[in-house]
Amino acid sequence: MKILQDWQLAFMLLWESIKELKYLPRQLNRCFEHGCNMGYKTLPIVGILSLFMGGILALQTGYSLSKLPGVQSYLGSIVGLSMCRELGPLMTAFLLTGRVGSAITAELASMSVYQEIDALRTMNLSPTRLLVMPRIVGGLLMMPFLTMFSNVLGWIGGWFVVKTVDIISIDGGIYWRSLKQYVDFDSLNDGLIKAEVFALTIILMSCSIGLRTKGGPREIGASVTSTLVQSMIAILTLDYFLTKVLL
Amino acid sequence: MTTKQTSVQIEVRGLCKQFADHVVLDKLTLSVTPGEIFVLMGPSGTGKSVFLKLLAGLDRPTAGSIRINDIPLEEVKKQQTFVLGLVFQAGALFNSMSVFDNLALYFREHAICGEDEIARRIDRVLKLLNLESTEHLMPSDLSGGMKKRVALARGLLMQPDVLLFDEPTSELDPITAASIIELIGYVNRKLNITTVVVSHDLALAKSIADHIGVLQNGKIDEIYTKESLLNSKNAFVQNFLNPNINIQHPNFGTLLS
Ligand SMILES: Nc1ncnc2c1ncn2[C@@H]1O[C@H](COP(=O)(O)OP(=O)(O)O)[C@@H](O)[C@H]1O
Ligand SMILES: [Mg+2]
Repeated sequence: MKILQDWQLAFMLLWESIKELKYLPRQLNRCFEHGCNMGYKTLPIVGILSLFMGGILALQTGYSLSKLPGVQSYLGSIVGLSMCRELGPLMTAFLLTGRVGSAITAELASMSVYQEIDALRTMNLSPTRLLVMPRIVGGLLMMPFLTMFSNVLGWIGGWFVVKTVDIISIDGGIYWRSLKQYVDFDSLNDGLIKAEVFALTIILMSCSIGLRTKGGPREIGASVTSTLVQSMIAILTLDYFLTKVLL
Repeated sequence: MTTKQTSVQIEVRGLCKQFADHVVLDKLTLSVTPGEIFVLMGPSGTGKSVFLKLLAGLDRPTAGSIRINDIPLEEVKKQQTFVLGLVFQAGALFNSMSVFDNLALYFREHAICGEDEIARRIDRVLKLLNLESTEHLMPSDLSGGMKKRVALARGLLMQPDVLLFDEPTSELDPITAASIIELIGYVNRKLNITTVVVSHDLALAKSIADHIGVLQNGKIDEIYTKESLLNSKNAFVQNFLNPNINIQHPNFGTLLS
């Protein structure tokens, strides 16, 4: 069972990284560097896709609700809660997998294939300390910002649809009022908790698969694919259970 | 660079390494005396690199033991005072870092000395290796020979107790190769570092080796000196040193007829 083995090894890597946390002060620069790099790479695409996601959500629900008189005023709460409890974290996680997870795997896999990891180990430097732990910390620092950004742009996308599409008969003010009334601190928090778990999963999976790559360029490509597949499976599986726990 | 107080001794006993059912090393036994240069020769694919990886503790042997000064390698590796330098065949430089950062990483991460001192040490070793003004280049901008020299610099800077070289002269022109050979010999004499070189370069063995082993079928039958190697009666060794090239009647005679 390759999936279970990957999960197990990723989990062991988490444990190793926790043990390396005592070296965090020396690695702080790397953490910030990785965090900023992840944010920089993911922010634009998260923005664009979230804007459309919110818009589509408003359009679909708005259309469905237009058949029942009077309930369209709840549109704001529907878009607001869907984004921050589910779609924001999920979308950000998928984009992080594609833009960051794949890059991490490719980089670490090529370091492994070209013996850079071996070189580190002969220098008595732990790859977990230098390469994995800073990425985890950086990712965990950046993820809440990315997710909040996604939430807000999703809401704006919804608002834009409410304003411009005729079948939705409410105005922007009602949309925002209903959104504010139902989106509470707990919902935002639940979403952010999920997002952090996703980010941790993605970075652990991509580091673990990357570091274990052996062979040549072909294997690097295979590892990147493997990271994408495994991360997506892990994200959706965890999402189900987390949602159940957090509801 | 300062001389370490004592050079270390390496004892390899009954070393076996097997990948699935492919036996690469088969009860290999050898000893490297303190401060000497031991050259391990052999055709490619005989397990020279595999042996070095075991010696560097990067891989575990299937059976057998490696002892450094009579202490098992795994224990020795745990001591902070023991430093092992391995110069990889392709250099294994960190591709995302400049030459300077490659060389500085070890000092920075182990907090051995301050930036000024690091710069001074790197400057000195780069001069020694004719690599001035490459500090700010990335490894991808270097030629093969330069990469090898930077890798060598990285190994030297660590002031190791043991230096291991994987084919230090392969893929180099004769002049650069000669300068690398000189340098290995010079460093060894000057700093008394126990050195193991894996190579199929006869010129290297003839000029700097104290002892030479020829790897054949996963083991070493006899340890030679520079002189005794050339007079060896072993047919495999003789053929390895003076390969028989015959275009009229090549080994693979009927391949193209
Ligand atoms: N990780 C590995 N898995 C399987 N076989 C390996 C591995 N590493 C080396 N080998 C095999 O061991 C043999 C010796 O390889 P190597 O030590 O690289 O040769 P060389 O003497 O040219 O350095 C080769 O046949 C190679 O296929
Ligand atoms: Mg080799």
